[in-house]
Amino acid sequence: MSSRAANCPSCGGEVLFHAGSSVVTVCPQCRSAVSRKGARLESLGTVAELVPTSSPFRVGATGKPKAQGLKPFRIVGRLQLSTGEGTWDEWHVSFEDGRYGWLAEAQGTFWVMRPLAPPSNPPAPDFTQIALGQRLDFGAYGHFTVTDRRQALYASAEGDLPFAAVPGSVFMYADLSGADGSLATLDYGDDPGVDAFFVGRQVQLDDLGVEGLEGWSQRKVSAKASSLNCPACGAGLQLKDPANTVRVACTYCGSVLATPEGGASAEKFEVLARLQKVPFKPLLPLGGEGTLRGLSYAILGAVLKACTVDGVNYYWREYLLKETKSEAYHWLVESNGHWTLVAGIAAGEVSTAPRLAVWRGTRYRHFQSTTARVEAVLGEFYWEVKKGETTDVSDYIAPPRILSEEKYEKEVTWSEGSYVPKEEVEKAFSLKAPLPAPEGVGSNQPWPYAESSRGFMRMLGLFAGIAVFLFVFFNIKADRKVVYQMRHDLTVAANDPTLSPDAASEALTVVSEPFEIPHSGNIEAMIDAPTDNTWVYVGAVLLEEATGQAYGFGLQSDYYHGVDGGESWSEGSRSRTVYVGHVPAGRYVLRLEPEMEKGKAPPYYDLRLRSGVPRMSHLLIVLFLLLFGPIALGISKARFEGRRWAESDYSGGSGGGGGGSDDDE
Amino acid sequence: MLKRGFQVLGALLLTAYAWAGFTGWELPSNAKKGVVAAGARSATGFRAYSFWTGGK
Repeated sequence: MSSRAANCPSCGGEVLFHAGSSVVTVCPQCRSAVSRKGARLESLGTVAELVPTSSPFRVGATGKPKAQGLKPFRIVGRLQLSTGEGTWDEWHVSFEDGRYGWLAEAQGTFWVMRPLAPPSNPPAPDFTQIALGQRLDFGAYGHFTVTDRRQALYASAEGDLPFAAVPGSVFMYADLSGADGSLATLDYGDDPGVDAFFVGRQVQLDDLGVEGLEGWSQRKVSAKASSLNCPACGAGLQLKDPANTVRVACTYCGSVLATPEGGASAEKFEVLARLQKVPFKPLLPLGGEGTLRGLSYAILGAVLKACTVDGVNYYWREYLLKETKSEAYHWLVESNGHWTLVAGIAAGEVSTAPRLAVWRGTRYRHFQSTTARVEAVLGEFYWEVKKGETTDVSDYIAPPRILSEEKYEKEVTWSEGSYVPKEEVEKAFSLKAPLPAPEGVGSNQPWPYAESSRGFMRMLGLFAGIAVFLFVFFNIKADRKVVYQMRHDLTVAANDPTLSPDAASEALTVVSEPFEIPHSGNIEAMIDAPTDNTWVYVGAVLLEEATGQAYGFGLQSDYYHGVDGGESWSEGSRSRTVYVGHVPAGRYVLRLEPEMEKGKAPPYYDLRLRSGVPRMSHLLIVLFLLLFGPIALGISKARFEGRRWAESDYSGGSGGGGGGSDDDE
Repeated sequence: MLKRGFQVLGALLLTAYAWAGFTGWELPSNAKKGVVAAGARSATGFRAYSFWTGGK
C-alpha cells in the first residue's frame, strides 16, 4: 500500500495515489479527478462537493478485520453516488495483499464487495436484457436474483478510485442477491455491456476492526437526540433517526417535510406538502421505544397503505422500526388488529414456484397478490416516501410466518415476518390503552391450538394407554366362568304336525336346574344351532331365585344359503351372542322358550352362559369416543383455515385485500 | 377451552370404562330387566308365567 506522489495537471498541487488499484485520485486542492495512465496524468473534470452522509467510515482509516477471510485494509477512496432518490457512499478499500474492494452500507448492514471476473459461462446478461426478479445462474459463482436495476449518478468522490470516469457521468448497474445470502453487483458503466462484477458478503461493523469510527460515534450521538420545528405548523418534532431521515411527516399537522438532495441535517427540512391535520391516527406512539422479542426498537414512522379489490378499499398500517443496536430497519404491520414483525431478507435466498415460495427450508403458500399504495405517512423515513406510491405485493404464508415480495419500479425486495399477538405489542411499547381486538383471522395468524395440538395428541395417547391398561387388567381378573351349558333337543315337538306353533313352543319350553353365578358382572349368552335355511329363536329369562330379579333376552340362530344366477350366497349366522349387564352374584334358573318355523326346526340348539367376560367392544368404543377430541381439533382447524383463506386470492369469491374494510378510515 | 374439554371428556370416558369393567355394565340391548312376582317363583310358576317373551 505504498503511495505514489504526482502533481495535479489542473492546479499543480501534489496528489497521491495510495494504492496499486488506484486509477483516479481526487486532488485535495482543486477537486480535480486526476487519472493516471502509466506515467501520464489527466484531469477528468472536477468533482462536486461531497454531500454529508452518516457513514461511519473516512478516507485514510484502516481496518484489522476479525471477520474470517478478510485481510487488513485501508480506506483509500470514497465514491458518492446518487439515484435522485438518495445519496450513498461506497468506500474504496485496498487490502494488504494488494487487492481492492468496496465497503458499502445498506440500511444498517455492511458489505465487503470484491471484484471477480464477470460471469462467462453462462455470461451475464446486458443491462437491456436484465429484469427485476430474474433468476441468474452464474455457474461456479452460484445462483442470483436481480433485486435492483437502475442508473446512478457519479455525484462526487474523495481520495482514490479504482476506475476512470468523468465526474457527473451516469452508471448503469444491477444488484443481485445470492442464494447463499451474498450480494453481487453487475456494473455496466455507461453502456449495456458488463464492465465489472462484484460479489460480497455481509460483515458486522465490529468485525471490520476499523480504527476510530469517529463518524459512527457522532452518528450515534446525533441519532439519540435531534429535534426540529415543523416549518408548517411550528410544532417541535423529535427525530429518532436524524442521520438517515430524508422525509418527515409532522405528527401534529401531517405536513410532509423533505430534505434537499442528500441533506441530512435537521435544519434543512422544507415543506413538501402542507396539510391541516394528521391524515390518520397511528396505534403506536411515533418516537416511542420498546423491546420486542429481545430487540430494542424505536418507532420512527407509520405508513397507511391500501389496496382496492372489486372497488372496495382495504387498509392496513405499517410502522417503521429501527433496531437500536444493529440500526437495521424492521416493520411492524397491523391489519385488522393483527400484528406482524417483519424484517428484510436476501431475495436470492428465496426460490419460488407456482403458488409457493421457499426460504431457508420453509415452504410458504401463496396467499395473495395485490397492488399496495401509500395513502398517508406520519413520522420519519429513511427514503423518499410518497403518497400514492404503489408496489406489487405478493404474500406467502406458513403461519405464523409470512414471506412478502414487493416489486417497485426498479427494485424488488423480500421480507419475512412473524405474527405477534397484540398483547405482546402492548407490553413491548408499554401502551397505556389496549390495542383494538383482532378482527377475523389474520393472513399469518397461527391457529390458536397449533401449540397445544401436540399436547392434545400426547393427552390422547395417555388416555388410550390408560384404557388399554384397564382392558388388560379386566382380562387378567376376568373369571369367564361357564355357569350354564346345555344342548336342547327340538326334534320331537317341533316336527310334530299335530301341534300348533304355540303348543309346540310351550312343549319345548324348559326351566333349568338352579346354578350359581359366583361374581357380580356381565353374562355372555351364546346360542349355536345347526340351522339350514331355517331359524330358531329362544326367548330366555335368567331368574334369581331369592329375589325374583329377572333378566330377559332373546337369542336367534338363522342361516340361509343358496345359488342365485350361478352365484352362491349365504346370510345369517348359526351362532350368536348377547350380553346381559350388571348381573349380581346368586343362584339362578334359566327359562328357555324356543320358537321356530313349523316343520323346519333344527334338530337342537346349544346354549351357554358365561359370567365375567371382558369386552373388547367397550375398549373400542372408548378409543373411538376419545377420537372426538382430535376430530374437534381438526374441525376447529378446518374452520379457522377456511376463514383465513376466505380473505385470500383463493377464496372463490371476491376476497379482501388483507386489511380493514372501506369504512375503516 | 378445547383442551380442557378434551381433558374432561377423557376423564369421564375412562371413569365410565372403569366402572363398566368393574360392574359388568353392558350397553342397552334387547335384554330386559324386571322382578317376577313371588307367586310365580315356584317351578310350576316358571312354566305358567308368560310375561317374559323377549324378542317377540
